[in-house]
Amino acid sequence: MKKPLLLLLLIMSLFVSAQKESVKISVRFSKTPIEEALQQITQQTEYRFYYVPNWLHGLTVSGNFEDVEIKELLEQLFDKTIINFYIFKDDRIALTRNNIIYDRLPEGFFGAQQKTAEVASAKTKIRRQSPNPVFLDKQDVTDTINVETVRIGKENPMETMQFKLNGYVRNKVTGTPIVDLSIIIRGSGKGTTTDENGYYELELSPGLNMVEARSLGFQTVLKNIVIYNDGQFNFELNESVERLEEVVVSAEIDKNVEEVTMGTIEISSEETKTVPVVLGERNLLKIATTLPGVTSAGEGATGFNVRGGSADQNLVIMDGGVIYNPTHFFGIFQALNPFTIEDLKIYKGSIPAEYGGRLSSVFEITNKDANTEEFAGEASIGPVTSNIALEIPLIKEKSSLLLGGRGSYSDWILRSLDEESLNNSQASFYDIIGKYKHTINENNELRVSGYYSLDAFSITSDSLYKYSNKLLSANWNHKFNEKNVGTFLATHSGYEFNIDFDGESNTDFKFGYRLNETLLKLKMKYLHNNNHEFDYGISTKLYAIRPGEIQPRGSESIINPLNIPKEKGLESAVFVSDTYKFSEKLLFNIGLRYSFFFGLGPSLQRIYEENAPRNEGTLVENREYDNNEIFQTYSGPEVRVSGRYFLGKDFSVKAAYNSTYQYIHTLSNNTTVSPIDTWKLSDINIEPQRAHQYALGFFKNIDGNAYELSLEGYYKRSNNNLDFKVGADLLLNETIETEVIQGEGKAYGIELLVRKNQGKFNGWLGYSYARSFIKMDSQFAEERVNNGDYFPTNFDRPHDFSLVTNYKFTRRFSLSANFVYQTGRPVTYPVGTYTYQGTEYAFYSDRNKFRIPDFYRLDLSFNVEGNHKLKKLAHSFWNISVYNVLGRNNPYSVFFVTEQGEIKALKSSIFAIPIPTITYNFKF
Amino acid sequence: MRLPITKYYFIILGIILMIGCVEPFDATTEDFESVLVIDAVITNEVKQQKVQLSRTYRFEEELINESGATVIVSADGQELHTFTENEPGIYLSTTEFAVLPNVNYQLSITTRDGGSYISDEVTLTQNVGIDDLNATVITDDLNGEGVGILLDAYDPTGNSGYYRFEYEETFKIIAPFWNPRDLAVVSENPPVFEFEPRPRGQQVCYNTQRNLGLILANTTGFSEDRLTDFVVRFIPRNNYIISHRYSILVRQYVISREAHAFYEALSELSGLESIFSENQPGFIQGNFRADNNLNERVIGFFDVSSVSEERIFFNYSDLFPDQPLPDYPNDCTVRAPLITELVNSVKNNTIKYFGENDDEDAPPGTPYNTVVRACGDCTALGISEPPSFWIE
Repeated sequence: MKKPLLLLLLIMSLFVSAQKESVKISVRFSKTPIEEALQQITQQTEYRFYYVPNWLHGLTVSGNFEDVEIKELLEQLFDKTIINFYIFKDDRIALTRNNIIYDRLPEGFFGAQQKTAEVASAKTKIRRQSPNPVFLDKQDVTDTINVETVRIGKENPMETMQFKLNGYVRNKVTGTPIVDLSIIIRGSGKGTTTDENGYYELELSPGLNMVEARSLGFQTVLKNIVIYNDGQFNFELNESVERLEEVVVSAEIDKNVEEVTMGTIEISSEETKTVPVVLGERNLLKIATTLPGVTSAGEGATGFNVRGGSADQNLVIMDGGVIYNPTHFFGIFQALNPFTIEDLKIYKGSIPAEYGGRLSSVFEITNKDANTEEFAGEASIGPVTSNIALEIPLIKEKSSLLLGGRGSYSDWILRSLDEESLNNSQASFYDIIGKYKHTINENNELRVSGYYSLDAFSITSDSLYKYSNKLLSANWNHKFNEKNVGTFLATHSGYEFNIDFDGESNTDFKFGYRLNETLLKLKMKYLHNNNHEFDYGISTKLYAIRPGEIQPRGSESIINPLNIPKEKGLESAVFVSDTYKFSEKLLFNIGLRYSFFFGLGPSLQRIYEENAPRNEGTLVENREYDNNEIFQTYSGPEVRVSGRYFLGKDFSVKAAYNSTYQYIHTLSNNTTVSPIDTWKLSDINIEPQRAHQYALGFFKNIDGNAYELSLEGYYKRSNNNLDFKVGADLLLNETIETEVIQGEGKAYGIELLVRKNQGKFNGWLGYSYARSFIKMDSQFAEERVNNGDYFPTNFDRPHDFSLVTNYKFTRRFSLSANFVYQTGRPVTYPVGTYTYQGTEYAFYSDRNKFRIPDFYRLDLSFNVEGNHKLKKLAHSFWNISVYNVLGRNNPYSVFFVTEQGEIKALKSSIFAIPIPTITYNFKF
Repeated sequence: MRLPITKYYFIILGIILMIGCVEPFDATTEDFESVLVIDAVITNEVKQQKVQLSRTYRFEEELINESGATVIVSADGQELHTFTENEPGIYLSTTEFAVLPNVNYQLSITTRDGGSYISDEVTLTQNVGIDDLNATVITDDLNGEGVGILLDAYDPTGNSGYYRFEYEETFKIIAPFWNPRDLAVVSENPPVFEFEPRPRGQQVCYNTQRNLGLILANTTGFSEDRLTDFVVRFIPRNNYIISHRYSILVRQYVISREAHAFYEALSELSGLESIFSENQPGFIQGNFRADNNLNERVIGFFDVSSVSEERIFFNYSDLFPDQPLPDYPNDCTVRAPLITELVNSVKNNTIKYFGENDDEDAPPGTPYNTVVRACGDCTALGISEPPSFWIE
């Protein structure tokens, strides 16, 4: 039943009387299909019926009727069915399922707010003479992704406040009843538990109820139950030993208001489908930057700055393991397969105690569990890459394999470019992913993921340049009993880059950098009671870094081999957190993590004079350490506390305090992450970075969760932030500590997010005002920047506005538009020249004193979903995008070249013209 | 160790920029800040010490000297050496003096507009002589075979560690197409020429040039304070300056660690061949400060160094016996221009006569063979007088 029709009928019914007594009918039925019966009535009378034939399928009627009125006849015909009817004045009869058509609007119809409040507030138990009829806002139900709507009973105009719903809850796989499972009516605080046979009974208010069945060890099931009368509904639950807190479905109503964590962002891969893309590549990471609090240094720049933190302060993990560079082609494309990714979750405000090691945020990427029932796949063809993902069931309902692969064919783009020097260039990349899931039995589950990505460039004919990420993770979930669940995780990640230089002269070389880390982690979950839920565990991570090695290439090369000694370190932590429900309104998450870092030998550590700048001149001693000898220990507590208090039914205030430690740092003197940035462990000279963040936020949902509003503010201090001296040289530097300055950071901001989740027109609007400063002060001039005052960091972009919208014309056609505006980022640039000892030099401003022009961009895309015929071989999806519609020449960077003694200022832009793209995706 | 990676990385970026674009923008005058630049190196040589003052200038401007300042060097806060302005911006000590060891020197400057600047206290560095300076055929990373000016130095006390070098090279130039006769214009229309003798001084010349950019060395990574075969200057083999006879004066400054840090930051930031600056740019703090305004910036380093110098000579034939000479810097193709064109060229001294055109197939009106001026007159590249130190 379409809503407009319903409305139309309602309006019409305002003007007509429902009673029309005149015609008498006589008919005889014997197991006659209802449709046929209705035809017979039609032939005898003026009445015309309007209905959906599906509803009547399989229904038959029997009986003799003599001179009955139409109303009586129909009442008897539909007596045992869920069909209602309504007779209009003009002899038309509309059949409805469940619903009664009312001939007057209910009280409060135009005050939807009031209506929902009354219907939902079962607690108040106000006895009313006539309960309001159930009007189901279509949006409440069908647009709520993944939440199935169940209609129970046939509506009748009786004066009932409460209906009874009962049924059984069973294990979907084994069929056994689930005992002690809580069934909760969302938003009412009411609920019940199943008895020893899995039976439950529940009183529901008429209309829409969100009923949630949850138990430790089972996936939570959420149903929209539209109840019209007493009825029965049986739940079937899937086991889910793992990730209990994750099982909440993404479009869960009120989650943002209800959950205790704040400053989290969740993006499902599916959600990004319609967002305009550049060169046909879906990019979750880029979408993340349209949400407040996450920015990137620029278009086509790797790395994210979360709440004023530098790009190395984000922990990017996929299926538990770290990915050091999740992008391809200098950050223009993500190195993540959009088809295999389930979702991306970003913690920027309250980082769970189980995670640590980075100051600013955690990017948690989860790949899908492949379908165990049937084979499925998805593929896309775009101008830069092709992409395929397959879901392969191995043992039915037990194990499955997810495989994904993407490859570029960008070589031809380079060759077709109108630039001779690039015609011999090569640039290609690919990434592959596999995930195996095995349900061993109801208490054990195993997941194994493997990932590899590679980028290779050969832009000039003499240099070949590569970087790669690899990741292997194994995750075993074990349920000890109803109250205790454990997860054991082992991961290994690697990142490396290589440069092969084979030029004209005798300076050919091979350069390599390699980082490996291995993590073991045990995480336990203990459900103490309804008010306390504990997570605790230990983790330990071993780092091994080869900071740089250069080898001559060929016998004629005069390059001296150089090998910067290996670095080794162990980062361990114990953590515990309690989700403590103090009252219905007040919820806490109190977490504590204690992390340790051990610098391990073999190592040569340089000791410098105290109270002197570190440089070759102040070197006091070289200390040698043997293999696995601990040369330095750092440790400290990390507090993760957050709380939520309900100010109203769908209005909450949250506060959080977070402290974090970071023991591994990138060395980069670029603003953006570049693939030749290296990671360095803390050692005797380089102390770990530390940060504290205080955050406060207000969260409000309007109209269910049709609109989500949030306003968050934060203040953050950090210590030992790494920065570099003017002119620092970071690659192949044995004494890197002499180039490093550790400063203090300060960041604060306000983030506003308005989301519209439902309806034809949906999307979000994000705005943040955020500042980020750093101070490098020292008694020594060479370690002091900008007079030791606070100055804006490279990524300080006060205003950041994003609008992401999608308008659905029909199910098949939709139009999306993005608009992004950001303040230009700070730069240091020459404000003049001077001559010193006969040579001309550029005279630079104070660091980051100026800004490049503001950034703005509009993207559009038009999406066509293939038709929804069931029998079709594949489901297709077309995306036609135009990136940078306005052709705005957004500066990416400014730089200065010395040409014949003259200094020249240049600015570069990426994608300075509108870029149209067509991508074809299909699912099978 | 420095890798030539920077460059390639930016070339890679370059291709991405192809999709976009790179365009110049105006970064010139808007936020210009006029800052005092103090170039002050005083040494342990007895001489009139020199301090040079200038100011920063806009991209499109020329060097601006700072005149009318009061410049004083104080020794241990007592003995004062005053400086007087000799030429605009160049201040020489009124009397000759040499800095002495174990004395704290401080430079103070008061500019005409009342700005007062003072340096940190600085002491003289260890005196280290040049043990050896020689010219050897070596192969350089980038330029291939050539002549390396190699230097050895050793400080047995181990106190030095940081060095800065300057050089002044002088070379002999012989014009390959010198002719004893020259053309002179008698009449422009009709064009009439006469011969006159060409001075000998146009056949053999000398030129002197100084190093560009900073040459720094340090021995701190080594087991002892010793420089061995340090390449002060590399001259590619095909550089014409070594064609005949060449001399180089190398001045070795033993500098303080702070001075080294300052100079190194300078050279890292804007070497002469800087393509794209990937380094963190910024203001380089020296050891001067403004007295009355701590936030005012001053550029420069008061460098008090001990100096030693050494001069060597060599001939091309000493190093490359029986080898062809490097190419002359100019293209010396012989041409026979139309006599009508010759008038202006001779008047403007852009070409030189090189014999009668006796080619039988030559077009009419091309009586003389000529070459570009530098090929027949070396004063285009140097001066005729040998410098006083020159030894054949």
